[in-house]
Amino acid sequence: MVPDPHTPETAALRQREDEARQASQERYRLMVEQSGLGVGYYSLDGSVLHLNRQALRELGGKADDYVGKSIIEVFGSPEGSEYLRRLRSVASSPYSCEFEDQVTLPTGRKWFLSSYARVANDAGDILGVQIVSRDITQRKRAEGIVNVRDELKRVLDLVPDMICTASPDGRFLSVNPAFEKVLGYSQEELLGIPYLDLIHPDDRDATRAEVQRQLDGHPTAHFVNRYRCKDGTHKVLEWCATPADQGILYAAARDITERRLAEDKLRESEERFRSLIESAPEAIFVQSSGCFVYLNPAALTLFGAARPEELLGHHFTEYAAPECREIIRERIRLQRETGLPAPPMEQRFVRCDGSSVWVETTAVRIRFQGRDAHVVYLRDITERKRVEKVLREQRQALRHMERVQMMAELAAAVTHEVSQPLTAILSNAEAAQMHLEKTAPDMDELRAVLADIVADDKRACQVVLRIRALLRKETPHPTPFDIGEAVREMLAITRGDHDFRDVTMQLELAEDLPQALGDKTQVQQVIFNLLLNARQAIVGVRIAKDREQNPGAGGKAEILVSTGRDASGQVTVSVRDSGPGISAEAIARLFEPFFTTRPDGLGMGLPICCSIVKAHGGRIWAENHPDGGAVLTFTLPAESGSGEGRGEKMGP
Amino acid sequence: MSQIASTVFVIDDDAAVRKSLVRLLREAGYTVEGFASAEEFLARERKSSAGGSCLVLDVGLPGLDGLELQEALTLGEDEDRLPIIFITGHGDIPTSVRAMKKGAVDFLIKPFTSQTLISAVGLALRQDQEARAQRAEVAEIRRRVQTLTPRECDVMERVITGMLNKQIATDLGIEVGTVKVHRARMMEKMGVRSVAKLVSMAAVGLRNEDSRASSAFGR
Repeated sequence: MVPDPHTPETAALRQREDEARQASQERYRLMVEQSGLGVGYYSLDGSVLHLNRQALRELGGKADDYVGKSIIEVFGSPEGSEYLRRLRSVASSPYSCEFEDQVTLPTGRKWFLSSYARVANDAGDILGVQIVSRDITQRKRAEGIVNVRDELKRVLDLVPDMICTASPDGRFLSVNPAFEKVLGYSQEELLGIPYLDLIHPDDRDATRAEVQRQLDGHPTAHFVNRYRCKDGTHKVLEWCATPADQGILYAAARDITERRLAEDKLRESEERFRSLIESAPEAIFVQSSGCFVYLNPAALTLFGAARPEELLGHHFTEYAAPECREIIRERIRLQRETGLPAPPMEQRFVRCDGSSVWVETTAVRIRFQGRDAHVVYLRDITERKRVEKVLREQRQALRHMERVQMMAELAAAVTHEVSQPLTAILSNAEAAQMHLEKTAPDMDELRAVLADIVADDKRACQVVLRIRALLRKETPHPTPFDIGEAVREMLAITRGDHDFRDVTMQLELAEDLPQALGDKTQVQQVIFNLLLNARQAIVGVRIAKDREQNPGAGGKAEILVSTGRDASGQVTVSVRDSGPGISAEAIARLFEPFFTTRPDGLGMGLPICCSIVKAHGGRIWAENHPDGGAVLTFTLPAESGSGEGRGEKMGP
Repeated sequence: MSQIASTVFVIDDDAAVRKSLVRLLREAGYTVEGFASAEEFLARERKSSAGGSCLVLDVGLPGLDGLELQEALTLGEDEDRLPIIFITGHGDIPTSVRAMKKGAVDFLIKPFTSQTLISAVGLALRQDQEARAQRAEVAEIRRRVQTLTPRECDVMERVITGMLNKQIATDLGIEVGTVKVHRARMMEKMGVRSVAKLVSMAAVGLRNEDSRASSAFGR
């Protein structure tokens, strides 16, 4: 400052003022310079503006060595960088911060408690940051915990849980790095902000009360509140704390936000499943150690209980019908051993009112409320059982009626088949009696009559035998025989038969056929029936043609009998006729008893054939020949090899 | 019984039954012809038999069955409208009722005694003879009617309804004398002497008209 020479009074005044100001500044300077505390004044970018004497003493050197240099140059890395970070952090905050640091200096390794505060002028412009450091090495040593704390700090730095100390006035005294990680604030920010500001408004009262409890000497366990993070979201923290010691709070927190979310989701999903089970139409209950521990409403309805309390805790086998209890115990045992779900099974349960309910049950092993349990699904099948019973009874009644009907039809068939020869016998016999009344009976005539009677009687016997064979389903005694010979013999018989007089019989016998296995007489009966059938098919069509006044068309009347082998090695016999063929509907029903396409047919011939062929282990079927006419084919087992396993093995 | 050339036709597809029935009825003195089917029967050589004929017919025949043959014969020529005795191995009531309704003489269930069959055949032959006689009578009346002049027919119709000569004359607008002449000639042509006889002839003709398409009294 240069005094104004022109106004001595004002100049004197100014000089006094200047002197006073200089005295004040000097006082301040001396206070700062001679303070036992190290004071450093830094610009916002971290360069040294001023260091006091104590600071220079600790650092060693003159002011000129430092002023203008960066704090990093002064303290080296990494400490310098850390100090610069703190400095910047404090510069942007109205709060001051304190740190304890161990610093290596030319004067030795020392502990400092450093207070960082920003410096602003009256106008509020931030001019820089002031760091005031107190040498606390002596105190640290005195406390004898320097090394311990050092190690503890390192440990705390590593702990994923959040650990802090706090003052009762609502500030953190120290926080470990986990705090930064979880909440996103720097340690300095956290130390600068009253922690209640960070707590969710809804949780503040509870937190205050909990802090008070700690101050009153109570520990805290599982206290939960929410902290606002730097990014605006909230984290859920679960706190543990020891009772306050000399007004200092020691607390640890764990971030349980994820767990909470998972728990919420689990609870939601549990609720969803619960509502599913509660509203399920199927009865579902859980039993543990044989007792009901849960029943859904459908199960209550099924058991006829108004409220779960009526059943909970009761042994569920009490409600199983006595005859089912043993099997239920067995199923539980099996499930325990195999761990597999119990397959569906019909069981009878007894309801609260004593009535029976039929259910189909399945069970699965689960853990329920921490215990081994079974969830049991019950489906009410009482109605189904009732319907099944009614159906079964109806079916039985129907089958009985069918049998009665069958017997009636069989009786009618027998009556007709037998009445024909009986009529002939009676008429012949009575004709003979009349003839004998004549004066000169003709002996030749009488002999002819008797021969006819014998033939007719034999025919009646045949009918009876045939029907008996059909009813008894005699197992044939298989004997090897030549199928070709059997066919030839039958054709020889038909040649003399009046019924076949207009029919041309043709034969195609395969060579080198193995012997067929079976009862030759029965097989011949089958062949004869097939021949009769073929002849009827031809005659039927000729008569129909005659009726249409078209006599020339019915000329061809042929039956072709052929033998062979099928793919499985069985011997086959086919009878083909020159008739009109068989309708699809008739083919399907051809072998049903009493099915016939002829007005006078009995519908017994083919069923008898079918019965005989099946008893032999063969097959019989009908088809239409591509060139017209029907073909009926049956198969018989062939004799396998020469001797060994005869009749036992069939097929290739 | 008098068996002047009475013929019995036996139709049964069972050769043994057919043969025995033919034999039995021959022993009983009838002329018997056997057929295996309705078609064979219809194709037979026709011979008139003065003593009457009847049919012993099996119900269940291949081709045209017994009931169908009955139907066909009813619609056929006069000489084919033979009385029928049905025989069957199945005693089924609806079939027998149907057959009897259509005018069968009897319905016999196999086996039956010779007596049953022979008496049924006797009845059938009598029915046939009666039917033939009646048919002959109707044919005779028809023949006579054909010989009448239109005027004689007019007069006859009025005589039958009981009109007097005077009323007939007024009705036809001719002289009473002329009516008398026509009437005498008509009576002579019809071969009757009394009005009562003429009325009974008319009744026969009319009765026949119920079942025939053309009237014996028609022109």
